[in-house]
Amino acid sequence: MTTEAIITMTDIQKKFKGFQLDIPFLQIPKGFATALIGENGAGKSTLLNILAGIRLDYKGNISFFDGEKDEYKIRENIGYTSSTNYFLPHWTIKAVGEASELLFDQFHMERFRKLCTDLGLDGESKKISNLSDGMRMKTELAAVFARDTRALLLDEPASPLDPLMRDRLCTMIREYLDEGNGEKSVLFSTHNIADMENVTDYAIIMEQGKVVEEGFVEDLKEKYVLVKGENADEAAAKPLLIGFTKSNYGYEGLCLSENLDKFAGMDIATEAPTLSQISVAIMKQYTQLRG
Amino acid sequence: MAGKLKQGEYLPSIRGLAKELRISVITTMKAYEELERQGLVTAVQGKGYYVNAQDSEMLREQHLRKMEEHLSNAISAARIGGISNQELIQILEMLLEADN
Repeated sequence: MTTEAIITMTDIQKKFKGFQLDIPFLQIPKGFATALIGENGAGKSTLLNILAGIRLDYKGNISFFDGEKDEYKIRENIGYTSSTNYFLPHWTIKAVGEASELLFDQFHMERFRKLCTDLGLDGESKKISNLSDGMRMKTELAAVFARDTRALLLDEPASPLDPLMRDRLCTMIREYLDEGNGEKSVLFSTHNIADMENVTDYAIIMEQGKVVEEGFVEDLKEKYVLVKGENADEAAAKPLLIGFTKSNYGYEGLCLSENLDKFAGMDIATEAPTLSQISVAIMKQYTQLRG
Repeated sequence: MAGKLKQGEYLPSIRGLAKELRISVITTMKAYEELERQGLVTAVQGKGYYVNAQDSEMLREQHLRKMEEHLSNAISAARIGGISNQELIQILEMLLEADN
C-alpha cells in the first residue's frame, strides 16, 4: 500500500545516561491512527516530546506536512497531550480553555465547553491540582479536540482513563479521522495495546530507543503467525519462534509466516495473532526484563 | 450480495464505516480491497467504491465453493463424533425441512 506521510523523521538521535534514542528513518502515515508501542523507558515519550517541540536538544531532522516550513502553521495544526502534568496546577479548567483560546487561532470555546460537559468535567472552576489523573487527561483531550488540527500527538492518552472513557477516546479518534477524510492523522503512544487495538491502523514497536518493528496492522498480522504445539517438539520449535513460552500443556510463540514450512512434521496449531500478541512477543525479544 | 446496496451505488466511506462499526480504518480498507479483488466492487480514485453489476454465474460459483467447504467441515465433525453417513444426511434433510 502506498501512503503519504504526515511526519518524516531522519537520523533522530538523543542521548541520556544509559539510554540512546536512535531513529535512522521513520514516517507517520497520513490519514491513519498510528500506535507507538513499547515498554516503559523504550523512548516513546522522548520521541513524542521531540515531535511536539517540547524537547529541542536532539540531533536530526523532522519534516511535517510535506515539508511545511512555517512554524506557526505547524504548531496551529498539531494537537498534543502529555502524560505528565501539562497544565499549571493552580489553573482551573476554565483557565485552560482561556489559555488555549489565546494560544491557538483555531480553538473553539463552544466546542471546548461541550466536550467538557460530554466528558463529565463539570465545574469549570475546579483546579487542575484537585483533579484526578483521569480528569486531567480528559481536560487535555477536550483542549486539543476543541481545535481544528491536522494531526494529534497523544502521549499515553488511555493509561489514566477508565474502560468506558478509553472506549470513548477510540470513538473520538475514529470521528477525527473520518472528519479529515484521509487528511487528518493521529499518533498515540500506549503500553495498553489491547484497549486501543481496534482503533490502531499502523503500529510502531519501540525497544530501548530503537524502532524494532513497524507496519500496517493487517500486514503485520499476515507477516506473523501464532504457533502452538506439543512440548515434545520444543527443541526444534524454539529457535523458530519469537516470544517463546511454554506450560505443561505445550508451547506457544510467534513465527514469521515465511518460516511456517519449517514446522513440517511437527504437530502444531496456528492462529492469526492479535496486535497485542505480536507486540508482546517482539518486545520480549528485546526486553531487559529477566525471568 | 444480500442486495442491500444496488448496482452502481457507492459503499460508505472507509473512515465513515470504521467509525460506524467501531473498528480501525485499516480493517475496513482491507475488507474493501478484498471485495474489489473478488470483483464485487470497483474503486474510483478520490470517490470511493461502487457496487459492480452482479454476474449471477460467478455468484453461484462462489456460493457453491462456500457450501462445499461447510459441508466438508460437517463431514469431518461427523467422522470425529462417529456419526454415520446416514445420520448426517438425515440431519441435513431435517434442517432443510425446518428452513422451509
